Amino acid sequence: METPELTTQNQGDVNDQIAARFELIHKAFKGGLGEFFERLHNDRREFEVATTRDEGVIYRHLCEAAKCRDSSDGVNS
Amino acid sequence: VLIPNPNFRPDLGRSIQFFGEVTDRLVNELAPKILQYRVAHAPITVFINSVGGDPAAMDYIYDLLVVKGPVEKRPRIITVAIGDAKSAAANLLAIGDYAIAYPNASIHFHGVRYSKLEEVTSEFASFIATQLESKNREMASRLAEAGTARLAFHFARLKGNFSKVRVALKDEKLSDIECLTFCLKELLSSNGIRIITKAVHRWKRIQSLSKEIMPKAAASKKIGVEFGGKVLQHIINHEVKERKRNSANQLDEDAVFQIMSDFLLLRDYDMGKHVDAVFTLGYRFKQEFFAQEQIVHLDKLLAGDTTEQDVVFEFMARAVKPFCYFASCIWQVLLESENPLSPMDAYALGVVDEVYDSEFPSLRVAMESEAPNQPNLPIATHVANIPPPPPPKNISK
Repeated sequence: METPELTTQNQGDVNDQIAARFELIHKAFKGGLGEFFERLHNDRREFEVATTRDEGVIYRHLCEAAKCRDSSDGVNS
Repeated sequence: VLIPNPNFRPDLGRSIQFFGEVTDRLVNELAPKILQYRVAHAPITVFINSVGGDPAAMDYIYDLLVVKGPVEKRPRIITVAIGDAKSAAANLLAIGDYAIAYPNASIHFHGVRYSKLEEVTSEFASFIATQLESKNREMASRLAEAGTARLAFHFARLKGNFSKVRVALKDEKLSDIECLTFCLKELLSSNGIRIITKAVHRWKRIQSLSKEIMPKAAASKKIGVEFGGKVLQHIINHEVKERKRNSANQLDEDAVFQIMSDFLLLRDYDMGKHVDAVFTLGYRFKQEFFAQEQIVHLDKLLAGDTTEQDVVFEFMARAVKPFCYFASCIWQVLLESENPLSPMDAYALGVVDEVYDSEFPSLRVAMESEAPNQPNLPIATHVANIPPPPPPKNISK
């Protein structure tokens, strides 16, 4: 049976992957791993704030839609 | 967007359940499955909910999981504490190549114990005591290997804060290890703080011992066993001086254990056993362990003649070894007396790589992020796709 891709990976390969990834991170971020995670954390915060804002927009949107539907059905809005 | 990497995630389809007390029966249950999984070399996940048990049975399972066979490669092990991970089960958790704890997992370390002793003679008791001591040291050394890389990850992500710590504590000479400890204390419970404080105290001792002894031993030009002998002689001399300074009138058992413990730690990192760990860490975290001009020099050495490995090791060891000593000291403390840990303690002390449902940085996230220069969470792009609100209607009409 053909072995899946992972079978070629041993601990040494994983160590090399990690070293290569950290090198990339260091090239992209002067502050290294610390700056990478800080940026990630900030992005996550921004994402959460934006999502909350979206939810507000969607909620208002739905309320508006419900009001329109109710009024067209002759239901008291 | 995180791209799942199976080297850092549990796989239910290739997992064993390490549940209940560790006994021969558990070994019999798990062995066929482990052997079958080992054929394919892909990672094996070990889910843990156990309070430990027989150390010998634990050793059998450990060997089955991680010892390299004549044909097979050593499989990558992912351990996951879902409930209890105590005693031998805690050791198994930490030995994983990637270790994860669920947020309510209960982790507890202590030294190796024999629970089946009944009637013993004093000779046998003394034999057991020596054996326990040696088992503890062996286990601490084995666990330090896995734990050192985890602690190095914290070192790398927190290094940027060390200068601020020095300013805040008004101590420019504070070592990197002390700065790291200060940063990690924020995550630790009072029990975790007790462990790390004790480890720092021990690290300072081994650090000064290494600085004093290793150059003397190297100056003797001895190699192999004779070099080891020189190191041991210098450690004994150091201990004798210490005891005399404290007005002790004999070299008691504590002193002998201290000599042995110091020697074995120096032996592991200076004379062999963990040399690979020094290389791996030095290479992986060269940006954190070395200054820019040192990296240029190191890269030249690495690209050069492979026969110069000793020179490369010497260069790396100077920066990395103090850190390795520190990780080893943490493990020595963890395997003495009783040490219950919260999952956050376990994360900060390098017992696990990740605590689920926490926002703390993990190696998995660093490895799975799509592109390191574009952190991976979408900045709510769907905001743009929301249709505009419907035009206002005069609902009062």
